[in-house]
Amino acid sequence: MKTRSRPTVLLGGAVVIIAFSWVGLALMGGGDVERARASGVLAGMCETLEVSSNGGDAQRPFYDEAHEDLHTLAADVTELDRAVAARLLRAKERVESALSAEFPDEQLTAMIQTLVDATQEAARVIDPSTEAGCS
Amino acid sequence: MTDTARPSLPRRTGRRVIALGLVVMFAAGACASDTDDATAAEERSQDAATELVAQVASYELVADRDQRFIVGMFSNDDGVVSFGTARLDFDYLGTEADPLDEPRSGPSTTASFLPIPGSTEISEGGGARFTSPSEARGVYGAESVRFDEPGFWEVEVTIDLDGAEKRASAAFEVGDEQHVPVVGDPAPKTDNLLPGDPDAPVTAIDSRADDDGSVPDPELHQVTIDAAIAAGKPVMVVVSTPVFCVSQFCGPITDTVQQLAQDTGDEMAFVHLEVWRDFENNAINRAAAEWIWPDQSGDPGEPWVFVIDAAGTIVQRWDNVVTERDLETAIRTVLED
Repeated sequence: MKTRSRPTVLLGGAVVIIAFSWVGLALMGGGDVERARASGVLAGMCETLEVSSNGGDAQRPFYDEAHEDLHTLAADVTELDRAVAARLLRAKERVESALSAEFPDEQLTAMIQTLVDATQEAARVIDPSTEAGCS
Repeated sequence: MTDTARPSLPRRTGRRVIALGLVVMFAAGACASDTDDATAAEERSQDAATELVAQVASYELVADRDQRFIVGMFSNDDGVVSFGTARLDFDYLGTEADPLDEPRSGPSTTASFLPIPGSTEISEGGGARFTSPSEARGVYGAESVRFDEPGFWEVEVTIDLDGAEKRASAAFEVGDEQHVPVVGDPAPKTDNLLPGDPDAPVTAIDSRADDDGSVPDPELHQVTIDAAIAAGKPVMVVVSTPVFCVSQFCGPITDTVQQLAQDTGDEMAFVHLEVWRDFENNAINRAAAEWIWPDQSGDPGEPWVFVIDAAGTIVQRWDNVVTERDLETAIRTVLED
């Protein structure tokens, strides 16, 4: 096989970075990336709640602004507090089911509110300064 | 049947690849540090914001075996990349103990878009483009990819997006042996939990189970894998956790298999193995462990889907993402054999 001339990737450094990332996450809650993600997903859930409360289609903001990062937030929190992660994932799954089954608006909004609360709880695990409620 | 304590489930796709990605980012940062011009820095920042990011979605890649390789792509600004095809060029980077000074070229192939079940499969025009996750999402997959050495590899993905060629790279690890059963292996004769088992909480049968003890997918909990194999029936096994999935590419795979079970009838058995016996206490179901964590080493990603033929041999396996079309084709094939 021929050799391509490309920048060398410092694999040895990966081990150090993995170790620092994991130890840092475990000892200090979340890092900047995790805190930014938690903040972003909370904003997405608040937007989903607002749309649903006003009778709009909550599917779009839920899947476009929150869904993917909810998975990642849950994965981040699982490393730190599995009970909080479990509440978050249960609430998320109920909203997914409600959206696919086209639940009545009031019921769906209540489920989304529960998910917002669970998201805030999870965000506080990453960043204790996370404020309560959707402003 | 009892539970099996384990370290902590996945992030297999996430963790190691993210860490390797950080290495690449650090290297890029070091290269850029020679320039202290503020405007250039701002331009770099804007470029980074629109940069295409690749994330390897395969759970288990091993050396010297033809296997499927899947990778997802997204941009922080423009959403996820969907539809069309992508070119994959692989480079070998070496091992942790012996990294190469220069990457060595490996195989190249073309990957097709694989939508997550329930997502749109084809776009107008057929080409790749950015989509919102609510419109479409999935990964790009190539079959029969073979890596000649274990260690760290890098994939460079090249894709035509709205007439412009875009590239993204991601590093990943190739092991020296598989841990999860592969095509050609005899299927584990699993004595999985069934509803009514006094030994298990109902959420150990399906994480979505109601407090009243009912499961939402009874079609997938009627028979043990052991009994189905003994009866000479083909079996489709989905190992998943509908509630506790944390993969970036989670989709309604259990629902999809349930629908296929309803459509197919009694000539084939369909079994869901819930991953978690007790998520909060980090206990994995023994039945699931027999399939995705048999030697209790490494990180067992989920979901997985397997197809077993009437002789009890595994004839298909998919990690993380599989399309409805591939599942339907596999069912037809195994029933015709």
